[in-house]
Amino acid sequence: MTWKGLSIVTNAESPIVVVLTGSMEPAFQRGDLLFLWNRNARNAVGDVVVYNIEGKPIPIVHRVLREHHNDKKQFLLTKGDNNPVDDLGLYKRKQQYLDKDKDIMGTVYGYMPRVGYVTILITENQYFKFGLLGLLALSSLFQRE
Amino acid sequence: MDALPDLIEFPIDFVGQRKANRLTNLLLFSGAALSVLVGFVSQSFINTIYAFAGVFVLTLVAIVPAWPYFNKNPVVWLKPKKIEILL
Amino acid sequence: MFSLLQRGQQVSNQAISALSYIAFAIIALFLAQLHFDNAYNLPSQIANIETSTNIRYSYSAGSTSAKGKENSKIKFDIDTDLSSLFNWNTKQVFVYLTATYPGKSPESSNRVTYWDKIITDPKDAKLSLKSVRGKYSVYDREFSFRERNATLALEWNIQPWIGPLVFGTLEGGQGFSFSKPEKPRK
Repeated sequence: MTWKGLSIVTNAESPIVVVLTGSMEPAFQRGDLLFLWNRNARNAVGDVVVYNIEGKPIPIVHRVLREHHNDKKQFLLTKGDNNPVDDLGLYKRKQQYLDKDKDIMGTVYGYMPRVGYVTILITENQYFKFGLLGLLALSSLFQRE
Repeated sequence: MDALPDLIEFPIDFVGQRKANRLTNLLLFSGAALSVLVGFVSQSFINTIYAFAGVFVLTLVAIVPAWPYFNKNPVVWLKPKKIEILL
Repeated sequence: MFSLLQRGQQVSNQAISALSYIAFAIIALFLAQLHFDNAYNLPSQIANIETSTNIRYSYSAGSTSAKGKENSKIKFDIDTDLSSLFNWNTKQVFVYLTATYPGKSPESSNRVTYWDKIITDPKDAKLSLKSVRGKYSVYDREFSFRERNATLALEWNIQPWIGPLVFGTLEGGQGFSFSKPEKPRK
């Protein structure tokens, strides 16, 4: 319930995301928590934004390198701090910019280190997932009915 | 199987529970303030984390085991009385 | 609080509460320290600005037709001290050189990044760099820059250990104009 409420307030489908890649190091590490806001009309160069590319499974969190806008639209070019080149190669064929209204899922405004690493362990590490389930099963033995 | 929860119960009395509750809050929240101070003065973020980790462990050690301090006022149960039933 | 487990749970829950108070305290002190250290009015000196414009034909240089695309490069000197941006909650400072210039219509505007640098150690906070080559060759949505006027500024972003991302711009912005595209060497 709070999640949906937070989603509405921030206008972002996913108001809190966990960093999954190392493309923004040393700023962000895998497992860090990012807080998103999506009520801003425009982004500024330097903002860290989250965007989706059709066909790619996970959203990308990168920094805005260039922006071009008029009163109706804004076009952005992004780049990961830890990548040697900008994201042009990640976009769809013939897509040279991200459209602020269509492609941007949120702008990062807040940060918390490492707290999300548990979710990465649960989804990626089989031993951790079964170990956790085993622990839960064990703890039910010690509960009173 | 049913005896498992009893094995790890380690109960404390009611007065002890109140003491434990107050002590928990005292230790953790003053420890939190201290941790922030330690980090700020040493201008190191990680020191705050280390300091609070220490506070947390200290609090666990002070509160979780059933120390005799928490069992000073055991509950006095009434003794069963013998009743004569007159028919 | 009767049993061992309950006491353990109570301590853990209260610890999480205490951690959120710690987070608030750190963030408040962090922002206050930045204000106190005058982080928002830092001066900078950008000098010896040299720009060059070339027509390039690759997709990565913005070209989508045989015509190509005008690309601009820059060289500059920079002098500034970013030490005020570093305190106990600073994880990294991202500093970047931007150029802002107008578009075709009065409501349009463009901003491009020529160069950026990541500073993680406060010892590296004093920048005194000469003849720095911009990292990125920039292009506009239009084919040509039309030798427009632009304003160069050095901007910064503090990545905290915990809390909000903080942004700012250094004083000392400079103006320049995009140069005429050089004739391709035959």
